[in-house]
Amino acid sequence: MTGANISDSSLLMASSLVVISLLFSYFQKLRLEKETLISVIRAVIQLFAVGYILQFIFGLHNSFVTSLIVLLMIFNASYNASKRGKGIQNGLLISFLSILAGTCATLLVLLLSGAIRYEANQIIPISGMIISNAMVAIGLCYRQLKSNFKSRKVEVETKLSLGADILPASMDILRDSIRTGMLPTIDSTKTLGIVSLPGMMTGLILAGESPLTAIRFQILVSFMLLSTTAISSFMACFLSYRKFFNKRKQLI
Amino acid sequence: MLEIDPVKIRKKIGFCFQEPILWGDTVEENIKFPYDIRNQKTDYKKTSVLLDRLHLDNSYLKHDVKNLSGGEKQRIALIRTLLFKPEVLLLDEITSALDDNNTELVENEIVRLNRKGVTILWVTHSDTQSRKYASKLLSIQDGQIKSLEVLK
Repeated sequence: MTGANISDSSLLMASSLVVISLLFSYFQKLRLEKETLISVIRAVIQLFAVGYILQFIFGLHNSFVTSLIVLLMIFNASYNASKRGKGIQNGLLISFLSILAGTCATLLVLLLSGAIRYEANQIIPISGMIISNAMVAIGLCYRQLKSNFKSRKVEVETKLSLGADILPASMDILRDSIRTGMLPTIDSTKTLGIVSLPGMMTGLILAGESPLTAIRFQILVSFMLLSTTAISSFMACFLSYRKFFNKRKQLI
Repeated sequence: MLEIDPVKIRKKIGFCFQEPILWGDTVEENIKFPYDIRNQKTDYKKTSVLLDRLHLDNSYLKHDVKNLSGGEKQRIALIRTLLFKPEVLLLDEITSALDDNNTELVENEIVRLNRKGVTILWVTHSDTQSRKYASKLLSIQDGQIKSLEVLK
């Protein structure tokens, strides 16, 4: 197996691709030169930093540090997701618990099945995929919850007036929001390999793995993303719908 | 009053909105709702009696809620509220968007309920309607109480 190895000089030469983009921007008066440059420099610095940090952490072989990093990633993701759910009380805590539950459940199955081992170089990248997927799913759930409780206000109030408690009055909205959170993952799972060769699979192939090994990993990833989005969306919706009602069980 | 669980109170007080909202796909889903929230089986006999009284029939249960007229929607919303007889019924201009025929059907049902001991609080813009049915008539103009008449 010989993987593609990128030397510094080839990286430097490849940077001419950025110049093409800059020239385009300049001659077409897109006024994107400054932004392009900043984004490229930022990306390079960020990635090198992450590369060195990961190299360091992988070398530590310390499962406590690994767990800490995963928790930090979950916190970051929850913070981002809760911004989508602005106005939802305890959005940060709810997001944190939902992503944590989704991540733990999925990691546990993967670990118990022997698919991965609790080592930094396996846990951190896998958690990264799980957590970012859960973050996107929860963000979608929040948006859908908020817009549904607004646009279907009279429906909810009618159900309340019939004597329904807040859960049955919100059930249809909850279902719809959880579906919204899960659909992108299901859709992309459907088209895997046909429309897109996912980044992870591409990465493995580039690194010299056989496509047959790569697809095995990809199948594993698809399974875990499905379970994570399901768990996280479900939890986030069921933990947050109460916040749309007051103590007198009126829709706010 | 504020100490009591609002869900319990709401089960005793029926409320019909000016613009009736039916959800889901079929009329049946709406009819089932009051039973579902009480963990009871849908009483189709009672449903069909009520449908009959408001000049609808059992075939409506399978109808798509999107294909109903305003009058049909309002009558089904009323049935949904009446499946469990409330002690008090609040009506918010429920006939304002209905034609004469539908209005009469709804009015008759409300009068029947009132005779059976249900207290009705009926908000309407129609002076004729209020004078025809009310026993006490509270008139409000520009947000101020104008008069309280005891008619019957």
